[in-house]
Amino acid sequence: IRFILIQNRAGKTRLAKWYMHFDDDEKQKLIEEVHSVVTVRDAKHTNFVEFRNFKIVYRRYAGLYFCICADVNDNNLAYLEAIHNFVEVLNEYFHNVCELDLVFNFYKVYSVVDEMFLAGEIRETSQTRVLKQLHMLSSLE
Amino acid sequence: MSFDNMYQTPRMSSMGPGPQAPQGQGCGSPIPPTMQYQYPLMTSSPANGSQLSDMDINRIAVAVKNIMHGEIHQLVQDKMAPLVDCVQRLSDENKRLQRKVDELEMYSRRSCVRVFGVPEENKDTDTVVMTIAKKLDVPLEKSDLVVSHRVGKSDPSKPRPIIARISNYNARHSLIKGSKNLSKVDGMQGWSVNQELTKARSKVAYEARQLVKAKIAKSTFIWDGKIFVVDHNECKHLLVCLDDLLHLKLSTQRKESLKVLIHDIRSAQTAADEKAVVQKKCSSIRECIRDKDGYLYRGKNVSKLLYIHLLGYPIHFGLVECLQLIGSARNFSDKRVGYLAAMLILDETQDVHLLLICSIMYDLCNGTQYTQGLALCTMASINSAIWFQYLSTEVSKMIKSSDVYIKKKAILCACRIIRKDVPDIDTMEMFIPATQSLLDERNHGVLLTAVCLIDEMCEKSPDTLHHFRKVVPQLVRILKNLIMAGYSPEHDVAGISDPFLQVKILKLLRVLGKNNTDSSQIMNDILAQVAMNTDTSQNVGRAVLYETVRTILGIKSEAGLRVLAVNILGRFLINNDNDIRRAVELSFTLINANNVRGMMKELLSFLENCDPEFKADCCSNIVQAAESYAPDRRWHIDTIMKVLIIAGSSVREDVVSILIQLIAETNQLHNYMVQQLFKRIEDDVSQQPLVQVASWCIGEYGEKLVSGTCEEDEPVQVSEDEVVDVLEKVLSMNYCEEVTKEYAMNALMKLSSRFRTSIG
Repeated sequence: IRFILIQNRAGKTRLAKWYMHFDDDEKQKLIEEVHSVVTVRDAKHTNFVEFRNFKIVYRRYAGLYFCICADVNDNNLAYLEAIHNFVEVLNEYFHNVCELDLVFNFYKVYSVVDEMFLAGEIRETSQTRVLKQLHMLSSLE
Repeated sequence: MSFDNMYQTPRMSSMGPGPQAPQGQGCGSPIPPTMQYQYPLMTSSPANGSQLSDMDINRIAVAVKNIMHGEIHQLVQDKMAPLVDCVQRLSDENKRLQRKVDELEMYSRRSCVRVFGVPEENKDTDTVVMTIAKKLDVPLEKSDLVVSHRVGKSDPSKPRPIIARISNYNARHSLIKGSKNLSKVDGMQGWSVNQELTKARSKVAYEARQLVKAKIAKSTFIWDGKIFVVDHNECKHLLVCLDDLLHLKLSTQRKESLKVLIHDIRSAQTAADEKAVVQKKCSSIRECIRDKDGYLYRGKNVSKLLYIHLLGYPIHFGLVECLQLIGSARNFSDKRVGYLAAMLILDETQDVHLLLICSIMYDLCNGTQYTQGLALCTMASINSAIWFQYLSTEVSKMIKSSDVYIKKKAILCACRIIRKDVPDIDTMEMFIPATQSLLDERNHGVLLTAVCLIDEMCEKSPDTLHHFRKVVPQLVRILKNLIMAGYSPEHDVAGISDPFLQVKILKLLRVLGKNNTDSSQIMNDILAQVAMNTDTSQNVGRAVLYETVRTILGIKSEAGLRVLAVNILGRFLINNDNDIRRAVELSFTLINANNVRGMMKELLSFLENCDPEFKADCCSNIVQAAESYAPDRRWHIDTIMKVLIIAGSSVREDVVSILIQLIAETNQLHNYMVQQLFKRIEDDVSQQPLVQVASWCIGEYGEKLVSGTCEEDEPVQVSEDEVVDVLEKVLSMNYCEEVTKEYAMNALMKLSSRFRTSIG
């Protein structure tokens, strides 16, 4: 995985996790490009888009777009499932998560991301384990 | 952990005996490493001791100046220190005394109230106070009212306040409390009764009211001569003097939680508003950092800074703060925020990240499970070669650790390290022994990461590839367990146990099995099993199948397996979901000489059924594939013809020319071709490209058609008239395009020179 982005329909980034090095302005450009590519597509289009020399696997949940940018020869469908897994974990953790939850608790969202993805690969797939870990972490605060 | 420690990075220490900071600068502000004193480098003294060059003189002068500077500074400090102390003591005493006086004064004024707004006509102040009390239902006796009179300079614009001493405690309080109801009493609007305060205190009360107006505090009230302020956390603060107020103001701004900050920023309506709010918040954060108590709120400040950074504003001033936080974190959440900041803001190109090596090393060795995890996480995210150089041994140790949580992180970190290609270290050597035992683990998370690691290693170097061929049977076993094991609630996604692991293993099998018949044979069985057992009704199942198919086609699998793969692809294609179809575009790339016939059959049947928008792409893909991999000409041409027939209108123009070219090159097939094409367009003239090709062919090889000879199939007996008829039909059709008509015209012309009989 090159990077993970969560954006809302207006283009505001709610979470950006980069697994590859980019300059700040490059990052900004990438964010804008991804937004312009992804918001144009409606439900009839497929969830995979070619983008520069990578591809983006995205899914829309309510007003948020969850995008994973991966290499061309990676398994699309697996990443789609990974996105869904991630969203389910978020839902469990925040109890019916909404966009405001992600905004106000952004550091917690980052810790969820780190639990499930690391160094550009999927790390943990079992939802129960991830949730257990997260509850332990929050009890330490 | 002292702050200075952080700057002793290996790079720094290699700089030789660093110059010491001069003694005088003891006020605690650390010197950033980039700004160290540049003492002129003392190279060797001149060979001849007696002669001094200009450069030497300069050097000596500078050195002397520095020494003098140091000495003078020291002297001044010595003299000043006691004086400064004395002044400080005196001012403290002064403050204390002022407060005492204020308190005494206040005590004596406690029992007084002031009534404002009563017009001057009411001369008898006693009766005024009594009437107010009666109207407010306050039980005030004449005896309670000790004395009352007007006070202050007479002012034409507003009436002078009345001061009254009321000895009854309860009556006084009820009077003041009820004062706000005075506006309801007619004749008494604009009157108010307040506690009598000293001048200093009334100033404090005024400021407190300003605080509430500015929303910094929630509310303020006066009780018994004391001023209280309630802040947003429902804490009551007693204010005695203005200093207290300032202190409160600052501390509330600092303690302002992250939530409030986010709320404030979000409530800005326009972009310019938002910028202004962010600016204000940034400056208050900056102040807090500079303040000597700033370290207490570091965690909060850094998280606020992070939010602002997330919005896209620059926060360079806070970078050092973040780094300090990691080192000095008092509890876990602080540390977490600090590491998060490091991950988001730093990357390997910024030199500052080197400063963190120490902290990370410390955390890796000594922290709890969670801090270790954090450190590993940061390492993995900021994959800097320098860090890896120093820390890889630690990581490899951790892989062997028994704690599953750490293991997983360490493995992925190792993955990153290998991908990064660190110089000076033979990374493979380090990690191979560790991974041997990893595959025996039962924990899925570990397996997943271990497979990832092996994958990475194999990609990097072919030797390890050889090495890991041995583990193929083990992998196969794991996969088998996964499928057979039945329902495992932890890893289950829609009925398939741990699809992610399955996918990863399949990918690894593909890598290992490429070009290697032995491993491929072992895998055949298991691949067939997976292919047949996985349920495709959900996306998950499809993901697994997709990977399986890729693997089958990638390794040297046996023919039966390939057929199975092709069938699966066919099934995918029938599925109407766009995702699947797109995913199957891969199939075009995977076509090679072996499976091209099978694939083509599937693809053609798909072509018949698919949406028009997709047809064009599909057609060109098919044509391309056919071109590259066609086993023989005839088959090739057949295929293209079929394409034209099925999807005629969506085919691009160059396909026509390609086909024509092909036909031109294959002499032996001319007869066959012409007959076939003629047969087609006899029936149906609607497919434009087909008609074009057909007319051209007929034009070129018309005599062959008429002669009726053909290598295979029943020859078609066609007379010249029929040929001409067909072509005429083409010309007269209204919906034929211009190009088609042109082709037909051309053909007619050519025929006219070759046909023996006349043309009508």
